[in-house]
This record gives sequence, structure tokens and C-alpha cells, in this order.
Amino acid sequence: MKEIYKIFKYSIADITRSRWLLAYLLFYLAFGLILFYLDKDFGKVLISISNIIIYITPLVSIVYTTIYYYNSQHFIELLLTMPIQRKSIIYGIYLGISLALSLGLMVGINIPILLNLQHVDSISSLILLNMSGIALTFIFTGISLLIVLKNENRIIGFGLGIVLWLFASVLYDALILSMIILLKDYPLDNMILITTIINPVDLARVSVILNFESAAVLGYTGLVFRNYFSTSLGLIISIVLMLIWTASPILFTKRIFTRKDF
Amino acid sequence: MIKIDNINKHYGKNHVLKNTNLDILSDKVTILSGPNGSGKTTLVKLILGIVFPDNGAIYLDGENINAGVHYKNKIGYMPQMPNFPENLSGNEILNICKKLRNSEVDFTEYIEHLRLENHINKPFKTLSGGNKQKINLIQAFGFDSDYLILDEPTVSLDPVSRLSLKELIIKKKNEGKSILIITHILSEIIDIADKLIYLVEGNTLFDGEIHELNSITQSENYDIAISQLTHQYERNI
Repeated sequence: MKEIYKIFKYSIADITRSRWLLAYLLFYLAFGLILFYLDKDFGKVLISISNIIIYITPLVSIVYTTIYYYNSQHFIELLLTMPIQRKSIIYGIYLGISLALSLGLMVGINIPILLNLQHVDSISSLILLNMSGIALTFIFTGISLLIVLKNENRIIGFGLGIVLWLFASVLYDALILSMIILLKDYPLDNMILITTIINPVDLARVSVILNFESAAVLGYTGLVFRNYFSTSLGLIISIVLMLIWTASPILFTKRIFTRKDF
Repeated sequence: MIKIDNINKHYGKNHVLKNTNLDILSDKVTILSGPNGSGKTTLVKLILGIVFPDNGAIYLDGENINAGVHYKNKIGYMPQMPNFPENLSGNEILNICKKLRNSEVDFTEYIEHLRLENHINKPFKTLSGGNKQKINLIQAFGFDSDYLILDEPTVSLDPVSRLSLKELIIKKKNEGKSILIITHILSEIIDIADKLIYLVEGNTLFDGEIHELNSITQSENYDIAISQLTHQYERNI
């Protein structure tokens, strides 16, 4: 743990001074302020922010992690020549990137909310929104590290990351929707549940919207999820699944990193 | 002493090091040279534990390096390109190295000797290539390690700094340290070397004292001597 902390400390000190992180923070800050300026309904604002988080957070996590890793490759090699365990290096870097991006996200989305505290009517939704954003950051940072460790070529690594984002955030829902339309005569509830679990972006979306009563907000996936588990059980299951999704990529990443030739 | 015992390394179908056996002796300056793709970088990475061998073993002072990471405390490594975290200062980078090596060493002497006082607290990205290389040099030499591995150390150094570096290498050698220098350009550093290891296509073409190279090839010019050995090797395969 001491070794991980040493790597984490340098990594977060480096990233928090980056202009990229500041731009990320300012983006969410401006977006939140504009939303509250346009509409004071907390529920609507929260849904809009969560929709943006679901698209932007995975993309930024992928892009930033990819750039950071490739730019730090030589320094990582130098770290490998020091008397420190390989797993400490990768865990330290992973935590440094994930927490720095999470910090940018949390400051960016919560300042506008704090400024409009009188309109906040659901603290649990706000907590879930933050948790989903943080979980997505950790998940996609882990997945990106996995991709870049497997691909020395920057262009391929970057391209694979973007394709993954495009699939998970954009194409996946379109595919599911097409399937629902094509198979409308069959019972699809179980399939919908499984497809939601498979994609962490969908899972994050469902975790946030489960708290809302409105069917229009919940959508088909959310309704199926809630009907199947009831709200609180559905929430617990979605959180547990998010934790599994968070842990899995970094465990695979650690396995690759400790055996990799640099 | 670093003993490389029957090491083989493949990258896919490419057999980079072929049954390599070498001894890197203490109190000596050894040059590791060879054309591109000869395996010299892989060999150094194997010693540093950045790359794993297919088979064979490497011993440092009689201990197999696979036994753990603590042997790395005995090695100072100076990479060719000082690509360090851009937003951190030179001082912060050196502090990271100190913490990772659990060392309380003081770099002031090096900083003053290399005239880095006015640059050491500036972000790394704002430093010139030469100053970046000086920070690289400090993190390699500053821990008083028994073994120093320097990858193309004279790159991006001005003539004065190059001379200082050579003096530093000789000083370290006289203190009983082993220095392994990887270089393409023999002429820049060979005057301070005791030994030369020359690799071609993963084979050890020459491993001996510098004066042996001259006597084998009957040439005082090192580039010509190496060229002769390479031609001889090419005729034999």
C-alpha cells in the first residue's frame, strides 16, 4: 500500500496540474450552470447532467488515459527499474488517473448544484449521479489501461478506445432498440436485464434513473429493471454490478502489466 | 559482477538474443554496442527487469535477479530520452526517485556541479533538452549505486557537459562502480572504456578488453576494427 501511495501521489500531482483536467472540470461547471439557468427543476437538470455524464465521462476517461499512458511510457519504464513491485506501479497510476478525473467531474457537476441548493429535492439522486460518474471513470480508465497495455501502437490503442466508447455509449442502445422492435412478439424482459448488466454505461444510466418514478424517465430498460427487482433491490444489484465492473478491468490490467515486456 | 547465463529472448518469431553468455565486471567501464536490432536494448532491459527472458538467468553479485526487486537498488539507470512527468519540476521528479528507492540522499552537489540551481524548480516541460538530460543524469548517478547503466548518455549534451560526464564516469569507476554504457557511436566514449561487448543479430561478436579488439583486427581505428569483425561475421553465416 505504501508503494501504491508513492506512485499515486506523483501521478495525481502531475495530472491535477494538467490543462486537460481543468478543461474537463470547466465543461461540467458551465454545462451545469447553463442547465440551472434554463430550468430550475432539479429532476430535469439531474437527468440532463446524467445523460451527459454517460456519454462524456467514458469518452474523456478513455482519451485521457490513452494519452497519459503513451506519454508516460518512458517514465513507467524508469519506474520499473526501481525497487518497487510492478503491481504497485499500475495500481498507483490507475488510482491517480481515476481519482483526478473523478475530482474534476465532481467539482464540475456539484458547484452548480451547490449554487442552486434551494432547488435540490432528492439527495439520493444526487449521490447516485456522483457515484455513477465516478464508477464510469474508474471502469473506463481500467479498460483503457487494458487496451493500451495490449497495443504498443498509439493509433491502434486510441482507435480501439474510441470504437469501444462508440459501441458502449452510442451503438449499443441502437442495437438493443432494434432487437426489441424485431422481437416484439417475444418476452424480452430477461434479455433486457442481461443486456443492461453487460454494458456498464447502461448500468450507470439505470442506477441514476431508478430513483425517478416517472415511466418516461425510466424508459423500457429502467422499467424492466425496477419491476424485476423492486426499486431498492434493483438499486443494490445495480451498485454491486457496477462494483464488479469497476474491479474487473483493473484486475486484468494488473495481470497483464506484471507479465509484460516493456 | 553481472553474469548473464545462457539467455534467450524472442519477440514473436524474432530471436533477439541467442544463448547469450556475458560477464559485466566490477570496477570497469563496459561499452555495449551493436547495430540497430542487435539486441543490446533487450539485453539491458533484461538486466533491469523490464523484460523477462525465455530461458536462462541473470545474476547480480551472485544472486538471481528473479528473486525480487530489491536488487534494483544496486542499479542506477539513465534512459536515453528523459521523458519525465511534464507538469512536475526537476526537484519533484528527483524526490519521487528518492522515495521509491527509500533514500535520503542529497543531490545538492550534483545540482550545483551541473549548474541546475535556477532550473530545478521549474516544470520539466519548460526545461531545455540539455537540462532535462542533466536531471536524468542526477537520478541515475545520485544514489551512489554499485552498477550504472547508461543508455546513449552523451545524446543532447553540449561538449562541456559531455566532458563533465566522462569525468564523472571515471570518478565512479575509481570508486569501484561498474558502468555499462550503451552506444552506437563508439568514438564518443571509447577513450574511457575498459571493455567492449559488440552484438550483432543477438550474437556476441566481440566480448573483451578494448586493446584486444585492436590486436585482433590490427587496426587502431575502432570503427574500422568493428567493421572488419562484422564483415568476417557476415562471411561466416
